[in-house]
Amino acid sequence: MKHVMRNIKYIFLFLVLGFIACDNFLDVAPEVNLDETKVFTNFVNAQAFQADIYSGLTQRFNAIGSYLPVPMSSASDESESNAGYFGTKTFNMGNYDGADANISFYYTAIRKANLFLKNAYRIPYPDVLTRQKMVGEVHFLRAFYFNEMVKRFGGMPIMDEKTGLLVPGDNLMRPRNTYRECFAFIMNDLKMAIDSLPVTLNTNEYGRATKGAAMALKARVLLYAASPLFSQQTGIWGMGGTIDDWYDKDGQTWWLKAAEAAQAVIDLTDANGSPVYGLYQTGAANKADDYQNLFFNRREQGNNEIIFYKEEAPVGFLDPQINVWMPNGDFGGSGAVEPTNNFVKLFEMSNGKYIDEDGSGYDPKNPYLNRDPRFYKTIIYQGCTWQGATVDMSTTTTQFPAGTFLTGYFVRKFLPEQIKKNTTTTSYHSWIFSRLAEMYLDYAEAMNEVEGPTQRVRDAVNAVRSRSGVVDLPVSLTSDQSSMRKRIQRERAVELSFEEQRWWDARRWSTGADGELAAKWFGGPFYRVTITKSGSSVSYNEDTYFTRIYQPHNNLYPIPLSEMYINTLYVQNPGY
Amino acid sequence: MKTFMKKIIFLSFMVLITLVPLQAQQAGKITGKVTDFKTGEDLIGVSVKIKGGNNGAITDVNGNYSVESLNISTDILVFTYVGYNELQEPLKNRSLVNVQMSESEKELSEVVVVGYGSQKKESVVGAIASIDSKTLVTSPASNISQSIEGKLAGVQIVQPSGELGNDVANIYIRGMATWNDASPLIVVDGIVRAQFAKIDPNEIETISILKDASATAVYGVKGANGVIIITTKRGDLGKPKISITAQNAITQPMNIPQPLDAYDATSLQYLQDWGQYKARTPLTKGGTLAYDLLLYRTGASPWDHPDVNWVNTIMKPYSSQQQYNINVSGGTKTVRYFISGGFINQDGFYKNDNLTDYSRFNFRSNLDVDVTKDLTASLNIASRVEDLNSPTSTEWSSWGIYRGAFATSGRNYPVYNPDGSYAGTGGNLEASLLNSGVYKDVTSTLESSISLNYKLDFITKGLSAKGQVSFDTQGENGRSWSTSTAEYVYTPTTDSYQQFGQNTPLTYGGVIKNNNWYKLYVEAGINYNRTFGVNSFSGLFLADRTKLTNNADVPYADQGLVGRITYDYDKKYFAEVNAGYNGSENFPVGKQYGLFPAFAAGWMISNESFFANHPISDIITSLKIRGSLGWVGNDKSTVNGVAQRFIYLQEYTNSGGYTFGTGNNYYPGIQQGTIANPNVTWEVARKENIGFDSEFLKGLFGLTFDYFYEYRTNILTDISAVMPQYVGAAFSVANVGETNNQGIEIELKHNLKVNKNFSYYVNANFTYNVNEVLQKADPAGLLPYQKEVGYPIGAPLLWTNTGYFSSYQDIKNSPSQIGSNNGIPGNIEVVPGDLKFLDFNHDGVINQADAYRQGYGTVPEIQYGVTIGGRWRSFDFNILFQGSADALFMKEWEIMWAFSNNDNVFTKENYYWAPETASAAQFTRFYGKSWVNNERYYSTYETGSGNYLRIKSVEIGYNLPTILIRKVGMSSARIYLSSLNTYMWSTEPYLDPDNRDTRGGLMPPTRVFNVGLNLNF
Repeated sequence: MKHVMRNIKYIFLFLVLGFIACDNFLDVAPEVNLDETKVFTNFVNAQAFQADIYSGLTQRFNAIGSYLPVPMSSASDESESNAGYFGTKTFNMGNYDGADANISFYYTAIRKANLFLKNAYRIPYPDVLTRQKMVGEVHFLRAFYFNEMVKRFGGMPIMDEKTGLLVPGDNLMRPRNTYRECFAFIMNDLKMAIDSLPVTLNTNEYGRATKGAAMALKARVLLYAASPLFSQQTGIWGMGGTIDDWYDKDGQTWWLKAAEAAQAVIDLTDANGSPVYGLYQTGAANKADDYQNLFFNRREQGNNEIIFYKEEAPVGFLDPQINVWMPNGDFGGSGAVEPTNNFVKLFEMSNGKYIDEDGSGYDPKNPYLNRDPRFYKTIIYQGCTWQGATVDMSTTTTQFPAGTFLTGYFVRKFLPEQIKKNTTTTSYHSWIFSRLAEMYLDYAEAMNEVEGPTQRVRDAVNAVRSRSGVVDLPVSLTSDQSSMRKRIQRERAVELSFEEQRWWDARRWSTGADGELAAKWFGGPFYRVTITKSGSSVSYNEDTYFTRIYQPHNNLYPIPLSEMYINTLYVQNPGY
Repeated sequence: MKTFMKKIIFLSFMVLITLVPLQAQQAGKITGKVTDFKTGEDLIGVSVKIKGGNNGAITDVNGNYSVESLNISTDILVFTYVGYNELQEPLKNRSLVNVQMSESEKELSEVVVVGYGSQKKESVVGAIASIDSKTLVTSPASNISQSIEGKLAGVQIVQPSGELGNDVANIYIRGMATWNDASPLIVVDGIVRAQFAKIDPNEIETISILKDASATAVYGVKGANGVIIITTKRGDLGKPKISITAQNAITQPMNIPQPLDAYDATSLQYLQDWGQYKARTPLTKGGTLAYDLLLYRTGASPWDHPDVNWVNTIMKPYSSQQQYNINVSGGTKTVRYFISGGFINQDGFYKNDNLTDYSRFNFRSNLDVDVTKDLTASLNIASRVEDLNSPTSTEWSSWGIYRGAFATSGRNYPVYNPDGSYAGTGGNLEASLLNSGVYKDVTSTLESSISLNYKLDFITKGLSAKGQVSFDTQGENGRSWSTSTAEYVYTPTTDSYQQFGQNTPLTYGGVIKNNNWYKLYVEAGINYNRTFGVNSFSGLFLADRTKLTNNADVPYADQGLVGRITYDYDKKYFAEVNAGYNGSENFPVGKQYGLFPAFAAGWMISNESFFANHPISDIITSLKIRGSLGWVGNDKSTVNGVAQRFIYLQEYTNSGGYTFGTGNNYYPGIQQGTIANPNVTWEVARKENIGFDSEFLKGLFGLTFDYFYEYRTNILTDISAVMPQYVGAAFSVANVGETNNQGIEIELKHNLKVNKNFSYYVNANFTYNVNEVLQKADPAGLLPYQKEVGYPIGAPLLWTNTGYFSSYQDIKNSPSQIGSNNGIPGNIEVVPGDLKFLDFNHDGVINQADAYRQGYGTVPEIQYGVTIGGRWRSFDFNILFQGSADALFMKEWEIMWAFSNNDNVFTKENYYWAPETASAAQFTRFYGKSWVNNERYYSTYETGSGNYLRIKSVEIGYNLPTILIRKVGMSSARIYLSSLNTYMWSTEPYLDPDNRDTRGGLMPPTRVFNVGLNLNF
């Protein structure tokens, strides 16, 4: 018995020691499925990681707002957001804090790019070309995403693969970089992308970045840098001059460089020596049909105009890309994007004159007669035919519930007419980041600044106009740089409407000679047209429905207040 | 006659006295019977001993004993019995000594259950509160988390939901000191268990709440939020005792928001529409407003102008509940047992719905076997089966249906069409309640343990060893059968029906919930307990290990060592050291273990001779001062309700990807997961406690007071608020948070036996505690009054509402109303009747800078309870007043704003602002209300108050006369009426003050009226 008892002590000692000795009892954590090494030393994984960097590209049909967002156009003078889709309302009331900041979104994509670039050396690529392509695409994407920051805020902290991959324990506070530094960072990325990306892609890779995409972005970045808003400011906010005395130090103007960059895209040829891009023209009887269809057809459908776009599956009626834009009432959409009369008035007459110009032939009683052919492809207006119905937005309409539309217009551009309510029809519907027409207009704008309104400036604009069957610009413009500048600005408004160009264009033009264009266009009274029918006669009455607030300092967004609180090194943009 | 008898007795007595000397040294056999003083019941197993001698006996099943006395004139018999006061009876030459023993009121509280053991109450120096089962068993609550409220100091209880099967209250011990999981650790019969709420109260012996570090340090990394220890009943030596309880109750949900009828709602909607779209004609049903109102008023057109009160349509005013329990306990010399079976059934609160009910079966068997003189084996088995049936539409929660009842407009369609079909376009609540199908959820729980206790006195006296193994398992299986019913919109003018939705037959939808886990726990340790003269020592050393495996997660594992040493000198000076050394699987290898020590000391002043000799000892009968200091941990972290595990591991996860090419070639994506924190560790709470226990006037009054201070560091905190967005990633939680939490607890007791027939007691407790964030992820540049630092955990950032604009002049004279910080000041249109906010920083503009942190968190800072009870002849009664204060919750959507969702409005909205009624307004204007006015920002206008005082419970009982019940073999029978949540006074007028759903969508707690019967054999 005593023997047993002595043993009991040992048994306990053993048990207790057993607990402590057996110290892997707590090591139940799962082996990590994927870690950095497993991702980047396996080509398939690395490819998936690289593909995911593209997910920072988003269509901007539904850009602003948390619930069924509306496009940015409703913050510019192009349209109004209506029917409870108030994503841009806050802009229109002068509140910019965080409304379209997207800082986190784009920097998340930039971090992915950085992580890839940091590990790019150890990926087992099947061949050198693949390596060049994959790395080049990532440089392009990083430039693309960072440019989205810079055009909104001016200089922002540069995050690269060496210093930008912050981890817990790092000092997280970074000051803003200067605009020049950001410009140089973007240009360097684009240079690497241009040097390594292919001109054309296999069809199964459509949607990836190409050399042309990088060149087009380069043209735009240069154009923005040359524009008054950025060239006339210094430090965080601008280049501090129109002459390149620091990047290539060649003394050329940024305008010239922008023009050359745009020209290079237009002139880009493939391995066979054929132009890679061309304005979409099918020889249709109504040339404006091509203008309409270029948003529904892709390269594989013969559209060589698109340079870079958001690759997506075809969409149907219930998709917010369609539904938010589609007229409401009988047409079943939300009718949330309504062009303003401010914008509609920008369309020329078919004879090329402005509506308020002498001899334009504009008839206020029949305002939609004989307008720029693109008007009929851009706007749904009173009396037009849409999805088989004659649209009636008069006060006595039966197509729409009373009081549910605001301006008297809906958008036709981007809306495939065959997608009707209660159908499952789908269509391609491309959000285009850059297309060739923009390159012509970029070229024209920049060249007009370099050498004045020369014939080649006029030709570039005419190329875009004639594709849609619009008459050429008057020859008289070639003697007046300022008038040509205004004409090009107006041309961009019409040709690139709703493509999220005007919102940025107006801002970059809004310093110096052209004064506060954006404040003039985006602030002040906004007009709609009220349509009354009496028997067979229709009358159109323009009135103000809202007075928007836009102040000169709104040309740059504010750093969101929450970010200012977090990072005490941040300098706020002026005026906020 | 009476006087004669007295004389006889007196004379006999005198004779006896004179005989005593003559009878000296006479031995003899003494017999007698021991009965209960109160009930007259025979007491079985009472130990009867001759004082100072070796002879002794134990009463038999009839309470009889027989013992040999060596000197029947001077010997004294000592009767001892568990739960009864010791009785000493001089023999004085009697050979028949019948005695009555009285139950000890204090006996149960003499021993206090502590972590991994128990201690004598007098030597306890930690902060521990406990209650015994008597106060729980007759409560008609559906689970005991609801019935301990108000009874214990330092325990805050919030019951946000009264929904069937989901009505377990949240329990906080001394408030909260972390924004992570602040729920206490629950230990049932020595084993950590997920919950205790669903144990049948009849099975419970005591509930102990361990509050300070000296009590909780043994639980180490899991003890920081306090510990609740449940001890279940065990058998005692004696003949079988049977107890039967039956209760039947009617139940009623409290505080359902009441919608307005169609007429009133329509007229308010008119006011709303009129302003919202300034040019818009108010929506009518095809006619004029007046016509609509006429039809609503007269009910002339019920099909297209219905007036449905959905609350009354689908909710029952009353429902029912039954509870039954039978238990048997007893023991022989070697085996003691307690066996209990219980059943509760609750009927749902939905009308016409025979699907919703909840029942629970509880079973428990606790056996103790003395294998040898030194070895005791205990086997505990408890199981319960919960059976919840409900309509499929409520399988995840009743939120949709219950909230729908008060939020859905009653003006859209009737309940049924003239042809008996469901009316509506797919949202008919009656249809979704009665015709959605059936959901059946069965949760089975088994909790079992076996332990061996070996006395090792042969090694050294007072040493024992214990080993314990426990196996618990739980399985939840929820299956659903779904069906759907078409709804129709009936148009009276054309007598036509438009169909919405389809009729589909009942189909089996499979297992919706499948949660299974099992847990294995092993423990081994040694105990030492010995007194040397005036020095008493005890020691405990123990090792344990737990592994919980469930069907979805990586197993949870922890293990540790526990140690305790206590010392007391002459019952005057007490000292204690407790320590837990344990680790959890959540942390990186090499950083898994931590040591959590605690030190405590006490001084029983009243046992000092200088005190006992002082006259004040007549007033202060007992006084003990105690204090403790220690460190305890918390290894649980949650961010936005998601438990954080293995946050030191850097993972890459599959993600979005992108589509390329013409044929929608999808490329799956991989991305870096949350950025790992390789240095993650547990929270540490440093807890200090100082207090005293006292008794006055020999127990007439008792007062216990505690002051506590807790400093918690390393709180795992979501740091996204201090990460600039250009980091481009989310970081895992980091150990950056610090808080303190301090407060006082007061317990007052008073009891008095006024006379033989009447006695009463008053128990009161009061807890006040307030926490403060000392360090959290506050952005450096944030305005100081907007930081969380310096304010209680969870205190919201709010504008202060100072009333309503009374006129345009008032608007002109007031600061410009909310402009976003970077916008134009005052560019929000406001009109009279809109909210007016306080210009907190006096800059003439109301903007983000005028919001400041204010108010309270969601856990009440003050909780108090007063129980008054007593006995009068055969009646007993008690009433518990219980209250909370200093807590708030936010209200939004339909519960706050008229017509904000589902088109419904409540009675309260009748008190809207209008120029004529401005002084009585409780609500902003209706007309002119637009989407962009200033009401959409959070302000004090949207807070609900958690302040209330309620009659938590009332009970009146009647004990049937012993004469009656003895005939049927019963020892006692009691019939009682009781009620729970009887009445409430609260600051928040429209919702339950424990509501914690911002949209008021949780079914409120229930009011219960109960009749019960308790029989003991």
